[in-house]
Amino acid sequence: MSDILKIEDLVIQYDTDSGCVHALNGLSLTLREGETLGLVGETGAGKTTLARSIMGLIQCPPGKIVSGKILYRGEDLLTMKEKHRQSIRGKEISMIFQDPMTSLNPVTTVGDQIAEAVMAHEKIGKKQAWEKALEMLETVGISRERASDYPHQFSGGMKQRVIIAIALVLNPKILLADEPTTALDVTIQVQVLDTIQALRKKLDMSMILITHDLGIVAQTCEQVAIIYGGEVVEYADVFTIFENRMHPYTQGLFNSIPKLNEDVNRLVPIEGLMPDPTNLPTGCKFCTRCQHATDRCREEHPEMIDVGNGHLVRCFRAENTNAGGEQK
Amino acid sequence: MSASKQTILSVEHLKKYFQTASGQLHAVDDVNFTLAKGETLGVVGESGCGKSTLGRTILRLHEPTDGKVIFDGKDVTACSKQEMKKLREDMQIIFQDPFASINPRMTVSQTIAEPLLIQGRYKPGDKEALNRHVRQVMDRVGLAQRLVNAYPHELDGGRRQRIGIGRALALEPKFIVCDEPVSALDVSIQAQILNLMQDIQEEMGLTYLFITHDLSVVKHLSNQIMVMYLGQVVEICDAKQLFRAPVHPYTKALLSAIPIPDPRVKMNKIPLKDELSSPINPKPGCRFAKRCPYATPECTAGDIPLCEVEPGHSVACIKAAQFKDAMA
Repeated sequence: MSDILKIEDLVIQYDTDSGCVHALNGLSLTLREGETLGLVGETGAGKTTLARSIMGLIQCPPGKIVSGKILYRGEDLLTMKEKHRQSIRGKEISMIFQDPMTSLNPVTTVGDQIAEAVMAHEKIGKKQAWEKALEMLETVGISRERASDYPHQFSGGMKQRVIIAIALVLNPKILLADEPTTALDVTIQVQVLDTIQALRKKLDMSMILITHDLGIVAQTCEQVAIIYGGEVVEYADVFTIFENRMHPYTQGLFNSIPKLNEDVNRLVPIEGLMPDPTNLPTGCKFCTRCQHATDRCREEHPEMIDVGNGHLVRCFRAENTNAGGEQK
Repeated sequence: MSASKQTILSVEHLKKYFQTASGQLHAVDDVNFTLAKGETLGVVGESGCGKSTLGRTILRLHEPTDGKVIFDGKDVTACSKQEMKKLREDMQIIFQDPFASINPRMTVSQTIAEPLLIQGRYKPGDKEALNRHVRQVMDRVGLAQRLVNAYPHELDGGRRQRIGIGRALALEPKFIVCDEPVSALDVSIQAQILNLMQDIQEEMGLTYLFITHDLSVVKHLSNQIMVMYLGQVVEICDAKQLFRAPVHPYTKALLSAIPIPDPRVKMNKIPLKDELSSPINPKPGCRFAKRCPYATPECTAGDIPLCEVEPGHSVACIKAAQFKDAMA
């Protein structure tokens, strides 16, 4: 599989009244063709900033892309002309937002909103675009008769289907799904995830799925990146993450969730809080909450260590475990 | 539930209807259950199933349309305003959204002190004793003493939820309605709060009505679980039993929809058609029939009572016995 998207050392900051927010701190990530990559992290880890930067939706100011590259098929999205980028945004790389209640235009019919996306990128008439919208609605499981309805006439799950229809109507190569089912009930979540997965296979898309639900990760992703404090702290295939995770934060995250298939009397939470993004620790970003932290962790920033089979861990403790490859 | 345990709360034929422009909304429709002292009853169901309304109606934050709530031998629904005020010392609530349920213009100590002053535990002049009590509560819920004069906006979600818990605990109640207390929090913080709630329950012998849509959380905490669908209870039984051998088709579908956090386990999903129907002027019979894969005309012929299929396990389904046998 070739790399379709490659992010290198991305640094993004926001200037706010209370100081400079370090949202992404040298984040590197690779998405291969046809693959689903799960992006897991908590509030403030930088997941949404990452997705928005790939789409080119970081507002400057207050946002500031300090350094780094976002390579789509080898071309840097950050340095290309705006016009070129616009032809990629929505057409080649598309995004589903978290909240279906607020991401649709309330005064336009859903059919028009899908057709609008088509007309923005393809030279076709209104009639053909509308026809395409109807087809897409059916693909996501909504009958074409409902194309002239307004968003308020749909339930949450149906609205999210409309958003999926808008995102996929142009057969994008990459889909960024930012917590696409967080606002939905579980029985609806299953329907929506199944729809996304079926279309992803049918259209041969690659996907980055942002979520904090480890169940969804286990069931839909092939690769997983765990993000903390604006950088990837662990990256591996889904089986390795679930069975042989090594970073203390990843381990803490798994211990914090009550599991349906296990009986635990007491959860083991990660003590402390997410670090303040205006004042991140100098060394390892997780050192303030890590039970294994040493002086070295507090002073020196750990690099990603390859422990073999493409399993990357940003922790000094991994140095001693079976160094399968050279340090990156 | 064994007879030796002392019943603290019993709810009988509780109904709460809301008058809306398009008809009567049956938010809670004939709910019955008893709750033993020191235990936790988990209430699960999807958005709009009436679980929050149930919690609020029990506390008379909504006036019940019909039915009785017997708490500690007293009929809550027949209490006068004066008696109700007294009773609220024993019945408290923790709300879902720690951002919206705390007065932004009151400091941490003022918020926790307020119930104590309202109930006249301390005379206005007795500042020292009041402050001592507030500090004890803050200690108990894990709020650092330096935050005594902090305002909610200075604190993160986890700490704010600790204020909400502190406020509910200040009067040393016997019973707390927990209305999705952790669903607005990140997983690592969620585990801290769940552990805190477990600890204080053990320490103070509290009884919880734990409302949530997160089934793994409810399994972790509850002795009994009650599944609601459109205002009615469809299944109630021991927590472990519910996950081991659910009987009602809705419970089965709900449990099958939870993504399993193990990439080697394939989910055996039971797909449900459509979404929740409207709770406004519901038709007689099983409210789940429209989405149920096993529905027959008899299901909608008349109301389906909650019947015991084995000791302590009740199901509202005319085919319950059949489903139960099929599993045996």
